[in-house]
Amino acid sequence: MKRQQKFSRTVGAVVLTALALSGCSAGAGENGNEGASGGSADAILSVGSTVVPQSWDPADIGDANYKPYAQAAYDSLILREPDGEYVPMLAESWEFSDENRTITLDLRDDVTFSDGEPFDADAVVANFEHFSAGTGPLSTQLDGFESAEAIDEFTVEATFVNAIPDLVYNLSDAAGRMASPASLGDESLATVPVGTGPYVMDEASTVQGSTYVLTPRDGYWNPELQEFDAVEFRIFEDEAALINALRSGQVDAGNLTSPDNVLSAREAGLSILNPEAHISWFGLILFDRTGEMVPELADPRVREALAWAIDRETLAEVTLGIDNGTIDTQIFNEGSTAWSEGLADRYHYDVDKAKELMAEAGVDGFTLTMPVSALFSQGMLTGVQNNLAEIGVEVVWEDVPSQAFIGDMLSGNFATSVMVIGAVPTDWFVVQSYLAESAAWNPLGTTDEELQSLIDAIPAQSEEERVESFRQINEFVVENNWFQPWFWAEENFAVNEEAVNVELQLQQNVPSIYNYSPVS
Amino acid sequence: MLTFLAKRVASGLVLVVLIPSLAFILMRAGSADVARQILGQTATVEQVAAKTADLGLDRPLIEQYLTWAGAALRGDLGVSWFTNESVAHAMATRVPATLSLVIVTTIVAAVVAVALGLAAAYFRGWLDKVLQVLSVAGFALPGFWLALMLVIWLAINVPIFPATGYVPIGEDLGGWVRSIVLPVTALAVGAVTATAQQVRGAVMDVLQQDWVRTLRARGISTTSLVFKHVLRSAGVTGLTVLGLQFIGLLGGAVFVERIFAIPGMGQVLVSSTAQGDLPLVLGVVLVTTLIVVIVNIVIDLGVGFFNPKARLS
Repeated sequence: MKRQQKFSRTVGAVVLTALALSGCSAGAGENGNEGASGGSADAILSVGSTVVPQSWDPADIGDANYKPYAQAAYDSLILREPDGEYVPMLAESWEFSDENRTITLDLRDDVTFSDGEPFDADAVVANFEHFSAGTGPLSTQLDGFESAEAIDEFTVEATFVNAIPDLVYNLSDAAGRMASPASLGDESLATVPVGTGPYVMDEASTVQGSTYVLTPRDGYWNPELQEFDAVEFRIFEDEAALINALRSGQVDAGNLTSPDNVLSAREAGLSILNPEAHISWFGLILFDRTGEMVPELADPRVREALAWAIDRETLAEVTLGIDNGTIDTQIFNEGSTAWSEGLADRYHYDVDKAKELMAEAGVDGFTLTMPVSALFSQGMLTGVQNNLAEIGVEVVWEDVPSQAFIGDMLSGNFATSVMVIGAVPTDWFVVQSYLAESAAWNPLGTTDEELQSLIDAIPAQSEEERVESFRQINEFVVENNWFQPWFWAEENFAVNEEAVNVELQLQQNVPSIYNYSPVS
Repeated sequence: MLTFLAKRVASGLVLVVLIPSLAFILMRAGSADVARQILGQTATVEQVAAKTADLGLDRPLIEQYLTWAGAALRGDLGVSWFTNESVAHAMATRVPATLSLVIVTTIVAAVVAVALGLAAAYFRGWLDKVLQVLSVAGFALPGFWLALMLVIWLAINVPIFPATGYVPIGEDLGGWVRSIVLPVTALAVGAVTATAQQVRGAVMDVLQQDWVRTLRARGISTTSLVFKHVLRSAGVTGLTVLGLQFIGLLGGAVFVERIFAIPGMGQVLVSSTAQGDLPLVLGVVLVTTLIVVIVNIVIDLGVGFFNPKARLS
């Protein structure tokens, strides 16, 4: 009898526990904003991400997917609207002088940092000096920084050796993010942000490298930007896990790269947003335009022959499963003023044309040794190899570990390389990163008189004049085949629109944090 | 017994020194351009060189190793090159998640496997046949497939458990249980089938021994015979298998942590190895080695408890 009672009690306890647990979990799937730490009716924005912030120091925060993290904690001097328009943020106004070499910023006078320090002109000076002295991934945003000076408590003037055409963009981005001067240089800034931004890190709920939780800051100057009770970034090493979290409602939004996951998200009722202008392109980079390593490449006809030999449509299909709509031959993307519809199909698959050009140049064939890593699909590599073989160009792939791939390629060890290049926010950034003599993506330091004179003129030019210069530069690159984009990658941003509203941001692969709002 | 323990601890310490050293050599042998990885595609050659120097990667390998080992001896495991988080802090947050999975899975495996193995060996007949079939099925089902199926069935189609994430036990007990049910189930199937087979075999061996027949002839109760005598004798095998399962699960947790986005050591080891985040990799390897060594010592002590003869060897 005693044993039976004990048994009944045990069974009862198990049933009660099971009921309690299932009761706890009943809301798990119903509440899209459940968050990592249990169900809640609060408006929590949960963003799924596949990247881990390397640092929260404004001088070291990366680009692209890292932007929303930074924006949650740091205001920038200037705000970039979803359509690309610049509006005041910490700076109420800005003005250029001295051939665009000096910028004067009038600052808000009602802002404080999360550590209680006041935001003023001295804080901006300290941040500019800290940023330009750093080695962060975007430190070139203040290239040629000469000095900054507080004219009065809320006015600051910064001077550069040469004008930076991107400066307004840069001040809406990494270079414009302001951290408390007291925190600059402190090691802890790498893991805990100290900004003027709408949210502050909830250290107790944050697991570095896994979940970052930020909560609204009391006394923030612009409560309109604090639309959520908490913002949570959840890291997914594996996109399959991200799609599961999206489908089950644990996460409200996240970008997807796998076509299967996009399909799965659609079937689960999630909205898939596609930016009007694509962010990254697949193609061939010809580093050796002077024939230093492969003499045949010095002849522009040979470089052009390579462009005609590639079957872009098929490569896009085997690589990404996308249609012909993204075929393009330009390194400037559709959102840029340099982009031209007429140049988009400048080259297409025409083997006869390619062979003619090779014959004109008197070249029978040659060998191209290119680096390759797991970054690229085998289908794409085979396609490139076969296409080029048709005109007598033998491709030899040299295996390079994924981690070393970019480093090896940019060390000048290869004459050409296939590549996918992303995140090109401004035309000047494209020029500086890919075309200038000292650009990271110009490891052999190739230069051309015509191109260089166009580049040199840009800093002192007016906006209208710059547009024309960038167009001419774009035309030069396409005609001279320094870079041969084949197609732009399809970006897909999945959103649970029952939980959040979101608007994509021009030329960004993920929306800015300001572009989200709760549905209710 | 003390000598036995001292020998085990000494050999364990050798492993604790050796394995992270080996990991260091392997990581640096396949050395990639970590500075470029950290700074991104657009960094200039000068910036990459400055970062390389900053990380100490321009110094001789032996100097790099001795610097790390010296600091580790003082308890300083350094800072992650990619997240700037202290490795000690990363371990403090990651170890509980992995250990939660591995310990709970081991306990589940122990209870279920011993019950199944014992029942199959004792009753034989159809029960034994069913267990054999289930064992083959359990081995054949890939763990990652099962994990994905569990997510689709019990987190997406019928939202009973969370699809991803981990809730620390100290934060919310119910949340912790819910967050580990699916991953533990995915891990436990393989562990249960492997262990149950071993327990079954060991129990059958013991049941056929003369002393068991003698005890039966003396009229000892079945409960006492099975739980007091047979299980204790067969326990050595079960414990050894469970110990090996525990160590194996530390590796097996990698795929489960990935599928369920659980911030554990397996997840961090994979991502940090791919990136070349040396301090973090060495931290995980060191902590994992320590756990394995400790578990081995505990198993040896357990085996010694069940089988006093083992202590002599």
